[in-house]
Order: sequence, then C-alpha cells, then structure tokens
Amino acid sequence: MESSYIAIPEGQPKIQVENLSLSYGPKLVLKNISLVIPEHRVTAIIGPSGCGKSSLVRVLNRMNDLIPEARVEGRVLIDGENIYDRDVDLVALRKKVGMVFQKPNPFPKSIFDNIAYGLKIGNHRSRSELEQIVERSLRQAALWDEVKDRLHQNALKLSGGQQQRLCIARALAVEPEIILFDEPCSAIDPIATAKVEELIHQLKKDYTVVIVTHNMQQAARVSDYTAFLWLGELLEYDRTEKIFTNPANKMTENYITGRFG
Amino acid sequence: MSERVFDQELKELKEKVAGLMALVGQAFDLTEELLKRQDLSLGARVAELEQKSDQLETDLQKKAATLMALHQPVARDLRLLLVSMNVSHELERIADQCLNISQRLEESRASLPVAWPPEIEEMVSRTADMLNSASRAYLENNEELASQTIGQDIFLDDLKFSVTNRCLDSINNKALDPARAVMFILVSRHLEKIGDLAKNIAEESYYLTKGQFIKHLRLTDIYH
Repeated sequence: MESSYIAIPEGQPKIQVENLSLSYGPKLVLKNISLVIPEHRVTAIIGPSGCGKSSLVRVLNRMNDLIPEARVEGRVLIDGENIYDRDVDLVALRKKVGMVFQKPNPFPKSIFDNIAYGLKIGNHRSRSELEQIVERSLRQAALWDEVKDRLHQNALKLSGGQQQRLCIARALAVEPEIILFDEPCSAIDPIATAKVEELIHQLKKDYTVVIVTHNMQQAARVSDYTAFLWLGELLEYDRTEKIFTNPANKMTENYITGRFG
Repeated sequence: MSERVFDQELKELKEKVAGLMALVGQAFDLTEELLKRQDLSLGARVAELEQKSDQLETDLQKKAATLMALHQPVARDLRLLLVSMNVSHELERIADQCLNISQRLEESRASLPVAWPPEIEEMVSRTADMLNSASRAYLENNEELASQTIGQDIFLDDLKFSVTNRCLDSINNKALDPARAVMFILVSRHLEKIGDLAKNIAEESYYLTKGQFIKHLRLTDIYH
C-alpha cells in the first residue's frame, strides 16, 4: 500500500485529532489517525463500508462512550481542549458539537416542540424566547416557509426531507459550533438532498461541519476538505478539489473512481 | 475485479482519439508529400481528410460529454475525458492547418515549382516529429515524451522567424518574387502553428499523466 498523504488545512483549526485509535473490544476500528479540521469549513469523510467513517465522526462528540466496549487512545482537541479529559462535561460537549443522523429521527411531538425540547432542558426560557429560537432555527434549516403555518402539527407528518431539515433545525437550536452529519441524505430523495446540501453550504458561514457520506459526488459538491479512510486508516486528507482531480494515493483514486469499495 | 462498463467506454473513447490521430497524421504526411512534390492533386485528399477530422472531432466531443453526464467521473477518469476532448479539438485544428498549407500552394499555383528555403524543410521534419511524439505521449501516458515535445516548440518559432527575415530581406534585395516570399512566410506560419498545437497536445498529455497543469509554464518551472 502506498504511504498516506495528510495535508494541513489552511485557516484556524477547530478540531485536532491526534494519534487517535479506537477499538470495540478486541477489534481495532480506527488506527492512529491524526488530522486537523478547520473552522468554518466542510470536511467530508469518505471510504468503503466498515472503514470507520461513522466511528470517526462519533469520536468527535464522544458518542462512542455509549458503547460499553469502546476504547479510545490519543487525543481529540476542540478549540485546543481535549474532549477526552476526565473532567469534560458531556452535556456541554454535545451542545457544542451537534449531530444529525442518517435517518431523520424527529420526536413524536409537534414541529415546535421538536426544536424547543432541547432548549427546555435545564434552561428556563420564556415562551417568546422559545418562539424566536424556533423561528431562527427553522429559517437556518431552510424549513420555515414550509412549516410556519403548522408549527403545532405532529412532526411525523412531514416528508422525509422536511423531517431531516427539522432535525438539522433541532441541532442548530442549541447553538452548537460544530455540526456532525452522519450520511444525512441516505434516506431522502434527490430534491430533499439538494436542499440539505445547499443548507450545508450556508451553514459553514457560522459552523464547522463534518459530514460522513457514501455519496462521492456529494462529498465533492459540499466539502472543502476530504478525508479518505480505508480499513480504519486515514490514507489521504486534502482539499476536496485535489482529491477529486488528482489524488496523491492510488487507493484513494481507485476508490473515488469506483474501482473498488 | 472484472472491467467496468465505464472502463470499456473510456477505452473506446481513447481508441477514437487514436483513430483521429492516425487520420490527422495521414493528412500531415500528405501535406509533407504535397510540399515535396508540389503535386496539387494531393490537395483534394487533404481536404477530404480535413472534413473527416471535423466529423470525428464532433463525434468525440459528443461521446465525451455523454460519458461525463452519465458517469460523473473524477480523478484520472475525469482527466482522460477532459484531455481527450481537448486533444481531439487540437487535432482537428492541425488538419485545418494542413488544409491551409494545401490552399496556399493552390493559390500560388503560378509560382510553382519552388525550391523551399532550408528552414521550411527543417520545419516540416521537426513538426512531423512533434506531432508523432505528442500523439505517443497521449496514447502511452508518457510525461517524458510530453516534456520533450514541449521543448521542441522553440526551435520551430526560431525557424519561422528565420524564414520571415530571409524572405523580407530577399524582397528588399529583389532576390525573390514577392508572391513566392509571401507563400514561404505563410507556409512557415502554418507549420509553426501545427507545432504549437502539437505542443498543446503534449501539455494535455502531461496533465493526463501527472494531474498538473503546465500550460504557459517554462520547462524549468515544470521540473522545479
């Protein structure tokens, strides 16, 4: 196998992954990964099924803590602070690092309550404050115009694409700094996908975005930087335009051109 | 892993470019023969090949555009499609230049036969070499050949200036019929243009192989 090529992105680093390894019991799923994710940029993580993409993105807000056998080595610094330090407040971390999952997972509640729910926990906000935040979040998620007249309708009545944007609005409501997307468009149609992709473009002005995707064209369209993982190793990390026109690593080239994976 | 349908399509596209290269090579060989023998009847065949090259180029562009739309290629596949489109365009323009040479001779029918200045003879030989090595650079993914071809272009430029100066001097000294002098200058310009287009093919081939744009760079910039 050819040696890996890991670029140092331009701009302010937001997340620094240093010598990170992750195992689930005896199985090593991420192998000594180091990369710097820049602020206000979209970073895509691509690679074949089982290569560790979702595991890597879940490391960034300690979602793997929920898996009993998971063991992390190395460091993940967000704004220079290691999120794996013992005294890290997980609630504060997950407020700072929001996540949107593969399948839209709205609560069986109203559209309004789906967004207000996280805000109500531990915070006493007035009704008017909540209304403002709900509107702002729905606007940011490009959903406001479609739902403004039915905020108290059950969220499960929305289409798949609308539900996914509602989940994005819900993640935005708590004012995170980083948003992790784990294959956010795999369960929605092309029109809804285009809306989510457009939204991701808009979001990077205010947030740092990391997206796991199986869809190579989507990575090419939405991201500024792309990381290619293979069997738990980071083989290449570079500007997306470089990866998709002239990758340094043969394995990356074979994967993105569909010759394996 | 078995060959993908797309790989087969790319292979066919490259074969089509190879076909266009062969056809344009034939047009150039005929032009060379025309210059040597000054047999104007060869001009009809050059014109025929030029028309065929137009058609082949159009087919290639359509095929490449379709492959792009349907397969959304990236990396080397994308480069092969882009480069094949550009190379086919340059080849078609080379065929145009061959036709131009044939037309210049036709227009100067009354002045024929002529003894070509030695610079033009050298230009024909160098242009043939450049065309050959640029084509091979593309077909064989050979960046060395591409670089060598690019390096040859400067000699053609010098030779063209030399022809122009020689002809202007001869006109001033009344040593050469102005009609012949103009024909020499124009033929040298067409040959030099073919050299430029071969250089473009070589630059495209370099990009195909190395993924690096080298247009408008000096050779020393490419290597450092």
